[in-house]
Amino acid sequence: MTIGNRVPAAVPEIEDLRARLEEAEETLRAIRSGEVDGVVVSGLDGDHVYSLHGAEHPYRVFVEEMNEGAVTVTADGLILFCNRRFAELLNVPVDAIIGQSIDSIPNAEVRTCLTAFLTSAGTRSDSREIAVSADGNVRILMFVVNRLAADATLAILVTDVTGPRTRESDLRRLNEEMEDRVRTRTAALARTVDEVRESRLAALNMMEDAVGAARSLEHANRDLEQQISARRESEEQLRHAQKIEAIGTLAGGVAHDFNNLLQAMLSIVQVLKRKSAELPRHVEHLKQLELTIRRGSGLTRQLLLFARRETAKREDLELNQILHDLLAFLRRVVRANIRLAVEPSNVPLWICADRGQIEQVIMNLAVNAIDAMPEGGALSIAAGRDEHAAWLKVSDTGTGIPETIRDRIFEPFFTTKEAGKGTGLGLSVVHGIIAAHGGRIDVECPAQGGTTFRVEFPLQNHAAALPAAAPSEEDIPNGRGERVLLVEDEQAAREGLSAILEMLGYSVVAAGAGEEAVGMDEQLPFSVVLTDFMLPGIPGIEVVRRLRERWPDMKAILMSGYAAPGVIDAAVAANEFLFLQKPFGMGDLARALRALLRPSGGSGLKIQ
Amino acid sequence: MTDRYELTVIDLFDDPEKAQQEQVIAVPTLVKTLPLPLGRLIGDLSDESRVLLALDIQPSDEP
Repeated sequence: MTIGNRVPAAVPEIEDLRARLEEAEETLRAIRSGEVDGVVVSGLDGDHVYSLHGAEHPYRVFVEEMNEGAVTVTADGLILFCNRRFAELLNVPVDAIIGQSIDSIPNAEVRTCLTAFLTSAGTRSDSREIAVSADGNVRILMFVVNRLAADATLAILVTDVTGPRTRESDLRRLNEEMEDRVRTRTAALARTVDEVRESRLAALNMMEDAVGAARSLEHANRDLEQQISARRESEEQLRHAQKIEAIGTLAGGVAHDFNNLLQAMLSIVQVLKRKSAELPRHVEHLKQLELTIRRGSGLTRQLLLFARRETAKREDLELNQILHDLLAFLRRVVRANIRLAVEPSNVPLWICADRGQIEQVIMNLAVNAIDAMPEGGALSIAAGRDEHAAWLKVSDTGTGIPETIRDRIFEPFFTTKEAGKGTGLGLSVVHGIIAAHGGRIDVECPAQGGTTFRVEFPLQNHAAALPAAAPSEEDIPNGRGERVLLVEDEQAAREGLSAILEMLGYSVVAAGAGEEAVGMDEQLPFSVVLTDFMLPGIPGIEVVRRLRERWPDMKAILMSGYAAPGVIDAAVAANEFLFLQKPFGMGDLARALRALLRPSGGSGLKIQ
Repeated sequence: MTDRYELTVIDLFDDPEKAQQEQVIAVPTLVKTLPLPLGRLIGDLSDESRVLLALDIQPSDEP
């Protein structure tokens, strides 16, 4: 065969061969490159298709079999691919979806969702959840889209989240319930916190109040303690004063009884004295006895003065004489280890004073001086005068008075002595007496020790400064048989007085009680009634008044072992009767009776 | 191209005889029967420009 003859006929054949070669090469390339899914192999029994499992086979299986729906949509809305699960979720066959536009999807919610994905160009990935009604059920589907970089195809994964969402919703509801509860509880807690805060504030306020109250309580307590202490002090003083008063009452009572005894003794001694005129030795003894009785009377007077049952009686007194009279008494008080020196003035020192009170001043100062010298020392009492005053100095060589308490020594109840040793009244009584007499008292404590009290009394210009002569026994006036009614409850005193009255020449009728006196069946009148003031039953004054109903002209003398009470002073001033302080002597009684029985007699008189 | 083409999808697993008729030896194969000349694209169909080239279709500017 020649090439020239055969060329024209061979050209189409060559073209055909070339085309078939290209096709074969293309097929081989496709197979090699894995683009081919399967090959068709012709055998004796016909053609067979063999699928080629490429490298992507596992992916394909994965996508086809997975439980999520998968679909790819082109940028212009064509559905390129969907898996079985996607078709199932939409309840549409796969064939009805692939190759179709998204508009052909029957479910409106899905359509809207996919359209939204397509229009939100530029967003590489997005997701949304929609509720899809299919087959009577509502499913909640979550679409997650991923835009492929190469051609803007949308790869969409669809997950059924109905279960989780329901659970989530339950959870959310629970959560909300929980939050509600928490809110409620929080509100309650806040209220409680507020309440707690308020009650804490209230508690704080209360605490502050309590602290304030405690503070004022403390103050009140302190005040109270001070008051209690002051009260205790004044109670102590009161108790002290009551004790003194009790002692005074006792002393007064003792003095009264004692005066009655002295009265009896004095009366009898005087009767004996007069009747024993022929026995001079007896008379001398009886005089001594009488003097002793009168000193006893002085002692009871001191007691009465102390008990303040004695009324002050101012008279002209000579201070040296008082000192002299007290000396015997002072000697008895001064202890053996104390030297007593009394230096009276060589000029008369007339003062107007109550004798008993002046004696008390001297005695108190002396006793204080003695008490200041427990180890012994010297007590000196001196008297003198300067231009207008009589002075009296009582000095000791004792411990002296500390300057710190010198201002207080005249206060009542102030004492440096141990309890029971002193009343604390002495110096205050002294001060009171001196002040009442218009005098003054000073205390000096010299550096060398000891204490000197200096007392001043105003001097009396006593021109007739002569001591009145004591009436002598010869001056005793006798009675003339006048009838005298004697009322005295103390038997010894009654008998003594009866004896004296009879001796003086009076006719005596004696009664032991007021009732007996007023009830007497006496026809003859009495000239005088001599009655004790203190009587059991009807008192003396009443006895006098009742008797005067029968005998209006009857004179009366009241006598008492006590000081004259105010009622007697008033009655004496009204000339109702005379008053005699027990014990009184025969002379006093005789003069009183004569004074009353004078024709002009009856003027009020007090004889003490 | 809407409504101006006719596409027939043949599943060779269901009908292997068709492969013989169309001389297809590998799948996927896209066969352009009309207009002539006959054209075939064997393998990947996802590359659009390659598909268009094989089908001898000029992409238009219209959407």
